[in-house]
Amino acid sequence: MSSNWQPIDSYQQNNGTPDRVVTFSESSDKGDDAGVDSSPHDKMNFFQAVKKVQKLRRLERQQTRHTKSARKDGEHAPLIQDSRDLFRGTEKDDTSKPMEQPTVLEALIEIVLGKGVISWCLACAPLALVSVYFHWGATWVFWLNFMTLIPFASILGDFTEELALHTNETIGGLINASFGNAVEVVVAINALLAGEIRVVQGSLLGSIFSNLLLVLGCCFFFGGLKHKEQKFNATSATANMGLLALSSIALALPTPFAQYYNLHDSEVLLISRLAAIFLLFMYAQLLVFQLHTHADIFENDGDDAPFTRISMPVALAGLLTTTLLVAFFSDFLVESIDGFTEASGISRTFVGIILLPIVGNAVEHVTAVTVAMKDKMDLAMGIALGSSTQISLLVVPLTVLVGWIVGVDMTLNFPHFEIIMYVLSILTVSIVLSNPTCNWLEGSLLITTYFMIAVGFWFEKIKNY
Amino acid sequence: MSDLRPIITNSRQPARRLVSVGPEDDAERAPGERMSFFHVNDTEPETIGDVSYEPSSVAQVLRETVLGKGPISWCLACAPFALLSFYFRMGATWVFWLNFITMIPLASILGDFTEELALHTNDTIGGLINASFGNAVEVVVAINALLAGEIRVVQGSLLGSIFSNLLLVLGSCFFFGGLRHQEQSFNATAASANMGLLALSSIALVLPTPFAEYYELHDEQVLMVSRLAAVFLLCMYAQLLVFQLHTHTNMFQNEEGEDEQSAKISMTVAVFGLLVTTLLVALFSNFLVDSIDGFTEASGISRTFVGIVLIPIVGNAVEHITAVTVAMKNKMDLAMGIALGSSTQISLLVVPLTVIVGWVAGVDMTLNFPHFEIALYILSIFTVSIVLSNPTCNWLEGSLLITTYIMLAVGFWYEKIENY
Repeated sequence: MSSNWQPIDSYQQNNGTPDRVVTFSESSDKGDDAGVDSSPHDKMNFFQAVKKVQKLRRLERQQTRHTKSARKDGEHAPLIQDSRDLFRGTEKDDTSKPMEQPTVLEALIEIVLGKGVISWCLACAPLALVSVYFHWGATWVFWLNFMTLIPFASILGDFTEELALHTNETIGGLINASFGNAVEVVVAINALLAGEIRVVQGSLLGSIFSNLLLVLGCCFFFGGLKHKEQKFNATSATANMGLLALSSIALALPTPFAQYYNLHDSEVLLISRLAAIFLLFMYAQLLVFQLHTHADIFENDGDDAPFTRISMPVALAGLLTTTLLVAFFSDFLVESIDGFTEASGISRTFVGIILLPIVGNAVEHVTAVTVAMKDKMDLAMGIALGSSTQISLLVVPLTVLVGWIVGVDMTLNFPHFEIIMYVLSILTVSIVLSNPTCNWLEGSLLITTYFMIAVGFWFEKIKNY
Repeated sequence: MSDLRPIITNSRQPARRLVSVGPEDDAERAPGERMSFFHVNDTEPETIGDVSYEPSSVAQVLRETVLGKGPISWCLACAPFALLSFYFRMGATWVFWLNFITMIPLASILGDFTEELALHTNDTIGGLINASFGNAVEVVVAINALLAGEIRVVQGSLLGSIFSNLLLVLGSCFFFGGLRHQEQSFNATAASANMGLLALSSIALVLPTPFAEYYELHDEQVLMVSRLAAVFLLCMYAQLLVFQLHTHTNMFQNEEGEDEQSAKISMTVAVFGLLVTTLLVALFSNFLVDSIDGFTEASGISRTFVGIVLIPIVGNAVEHITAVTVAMKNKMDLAMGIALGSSTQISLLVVPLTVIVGWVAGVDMTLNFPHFEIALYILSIFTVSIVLSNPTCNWLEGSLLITTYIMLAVGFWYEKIENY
């Protein structure tokens, strides 16, 4: 019998029963969704969502590995292991079958090459290097490095997960939290050190827009096409929206001052840096809240010794190597932006806001939509909303502080238009999320919002940046 | 059980059955009792399905439609005077007000003919017809003003219609309904769907606006952004129709399976009546728009105020009365369906339509609204969404919305726009 301790949480809508602190449920190993006896839809914070997705992927890999070993001779292995197959039929916890430990080499090959279509993009890597050293032209450099970075995001995620499995829940959550958006951080810091402030701002804001509107919208849309109406837990959604609203205030804070009150740029910088510290502080509190004081004990389904494919040193080495590779290729990417914007006529803002976030988000996007189509909307929303919260509360202030240390004048002084769009997007999403059911129309609404914003940014030409 | 009401179809038929302002009540009234302006039928219409009207002739039905609306029908008496005032040049103020008052009953008649036509078709096409012609008066006035080059008036009248529906009509529903019934509940799903769509439209309105000011975009690019946004909005509207009339129809069913009334007049008569009324509306609104120039000069009222506060009354007055009456009968979902559905329709259909018509006709109509109006628009949506987040309502919330509207009107009274 596993127990579920449900904390008294200010977000939780207790029906006036504050004495109900501890609840024991009679759940045994019934599977993933068993064991929570309150609402059928779990309060899914970001870290739980990430962990759950990772667990689903692990189970699927175990199954395919098992079927592969059980395959008769002469039967061909599927040439392309589609990432969409990952979630087919993983409802049951299949721990009863004996698992074989793959060798390190097998595991690494699985991580790097076992992702179907996405892994093919790795073929661009040598081409990307060639294009830089042989001066093929900025457009080629840009797109080749762009395509190369996409699978790296996925590989980085895998190594992060493996490393996190070797530690306990808390540190694991911390690791997932820190490295969850590693690609965005690396790209942003690269651009920062190259002095491309506009690209940094654009890529961060664009990541938030992409997660909040495009990913969430696609989840609702494709999920809604499959299932007429889906429910989700509105409480955690609202909590996330509250944090995003806080970040929007921080972004708005220095902006008017630079315009309306004739403050020197040094004062704008100071305001930005103070706001950044507050945001990071808020993020730290969020971590403490989700990983320590209100850490719902994740469903205990007998997975005490999670199946790790590689040892901790290997995972660490893989993580570091991949991060270095990401830094390497994103360096080329950032350097080519100048020539790319000139050659193609696409505005720098559009590159930053719309194109760059695709690198960090593409894989997450596909995962979230697949999960939504399997009617696990809470999971999908946990990923989308949690990612945007992380970027706004962690990555944005981090870039400001890194700029402070390095001596680059990175501020939170975004153009008014972008702030307005940000606030309106948050407003739209919070309206859509106020009702705990969703359908394809709401998804289409969010996607349309994203497209309209993209149209706006296509035409945007900023002076003085 | 409060079910979801049709958001967009704007069918006032169920509402009409509950509201009787007309000669049918004469028989029930005790001798000596005066007919009140709103004759609110307190008895719950249990036997709605059995009520059978038996018009004996087309002429009787037409007479009922045109003249059977009490005080509203009296306004039709202004029609000849309106024509006279125009041709004998009685002065812009007279022309304005007389045409203004003439158009109010025409809106109601147009609605009736639309209903009759919709009854001759199935649910889907009927919904479509209701959706398209539900705001016919606003569309006609807007296009008239557009072709006359009065961009400010067009923008104002559309924005004002949305404000009027969202704040004034909804507020009055909550207020008067709340005076009668302590607390009323409504379905929050439909409400939040509507608010989501309105928020989307607010983004569209904001989109071109900053470009014209902050960044160096030529007006052509502002136009292009406006037109693209308009296309997106129309696509969204089409998807809304598909959603309501096709994929999720079961969410929007009539309660208790009432029998639809059979049509009172034949389809040809309905189409004919619809066309005639539309032409009349076009004619009078033409005079109205022409007189705005002189009216603003003579009276000193700003063009913005005329567009935002005065002109929407024409299209909305009758809907307003219907919605309030229905709300007082404790059918809040119905009332909200009318109010919210109308504002969604205007923002998703009529506004982009005027941009596209301007594109076709060569008039530079953009979504470039003054910042003040955009800010107020967004804040209104914000306020209404807060009020609607809680699925019950009371008179105080109604008063809140009405006060918001009045404050907006005060702001627009003093607004003076340059460069328009």
